[in-house]
Amino acid sequence: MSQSTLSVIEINNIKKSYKDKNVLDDLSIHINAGQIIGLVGRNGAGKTTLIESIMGLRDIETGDIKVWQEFLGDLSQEQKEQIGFVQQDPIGFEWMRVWQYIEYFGGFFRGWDKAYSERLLEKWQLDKKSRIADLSGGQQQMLQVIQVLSIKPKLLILDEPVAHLDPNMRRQFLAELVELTCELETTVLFSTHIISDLERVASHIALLSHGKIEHFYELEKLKESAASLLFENEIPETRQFDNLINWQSINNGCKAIVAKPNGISISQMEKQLDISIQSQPLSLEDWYLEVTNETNS
Amino acid sequence: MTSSSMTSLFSLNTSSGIPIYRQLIDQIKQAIRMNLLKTNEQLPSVRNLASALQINPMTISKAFAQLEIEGILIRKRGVGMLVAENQPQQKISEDIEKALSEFVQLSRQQDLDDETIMMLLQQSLSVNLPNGKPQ
Repeated sequence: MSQSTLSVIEINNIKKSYKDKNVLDDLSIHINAGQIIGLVGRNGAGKTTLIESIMGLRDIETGDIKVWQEFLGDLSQEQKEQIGFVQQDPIGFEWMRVWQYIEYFGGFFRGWDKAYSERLLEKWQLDKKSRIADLSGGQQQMLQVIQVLSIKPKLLILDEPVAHLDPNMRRQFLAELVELTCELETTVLFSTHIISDLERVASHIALLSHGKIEHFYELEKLKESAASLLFENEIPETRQFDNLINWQSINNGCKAIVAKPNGISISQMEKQLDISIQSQPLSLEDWYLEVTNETNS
Repeated sequence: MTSSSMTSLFSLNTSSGIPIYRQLIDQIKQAIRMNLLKTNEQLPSVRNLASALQINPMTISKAFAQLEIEGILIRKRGVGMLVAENQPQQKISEDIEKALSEFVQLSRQQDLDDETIMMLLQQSLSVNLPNGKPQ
């Protein structure tokens, strides 16, 4: 896979508020070709608002959004047809049958691979003749995913694509996603609460909090640097490090949660403090809980 | 080996805190040691393995690249990654030798007999499993 640095999504200083609540507050993020970004954040953090703003479904107050270096309104028809998007909203079109839905929406995209959508329907055991109204929430989500994968998008934006899927289906979906990104080098932005899925397939993690992307890291680098450190004595200097997320004193000692790929490393900390540090690697989920838990000091 | 049978060699743990590519590296090395992957055997392509394991292809590439640097896998143009014929002998680093000798000295200073020292080492091995998995 080529490591292209071509900009796919470029968001600069956007703001969006509902009544007096700033949901997106001076938010910026740059996403390059081939990256697979897992977007996380608490409920109500604004993930859906961000995704819908990128898709042009919501007006932003200030700032700008470019896709493939163009403003949304300037994208060509052909470019628009290379963007796959799955919303969280119910699928609608309840009177349609599965196959009618696939054919109807496929028709809008010149990249639509009819045979591929048929293969996926069969593989994921969705009956072509079922009425959408009779499908479960999970099956409706699968149908949307099949539709969007089979247009062979170069950019895929998914708002909680796996929320209603059972673990087996989630794995199958992830396998298909990996397959597609290998084949087309598709850039993917997906929001999720399932951190373990994100960890498998994402190249980067973006955490939305307080209206901003507060953390945006290459996943492997984050995992290399995330750790829980235990100190026998309470060492005040440990509070000064730029990689610190949380700090807690325990009896006479203290515990520091650290993780910032661009901050100081643990071995550098050891040198500075001239001690050896007991460190336990931190799972991504634990890192997420640490950085989003506002009650921690 | 097909990518689907290859996947059964791996058990990737996303809650362990160990980066997935590291887990892959360790588990490929282990499979080679156990002869589950044989000399000159071809590994599945990055794409097939990524899809079979449902993980980002970059992660696989990174693990393969690291194993290539270490001389455990070799890259054959137009074929893919193969298990190297001459597996590099594990080099014991100076750090480990130093730590080991310090451990032995300290144990002797505290009048521990050889049997107890061996037992301590075994205990530690059984508590600290590879990949950071607690028992």
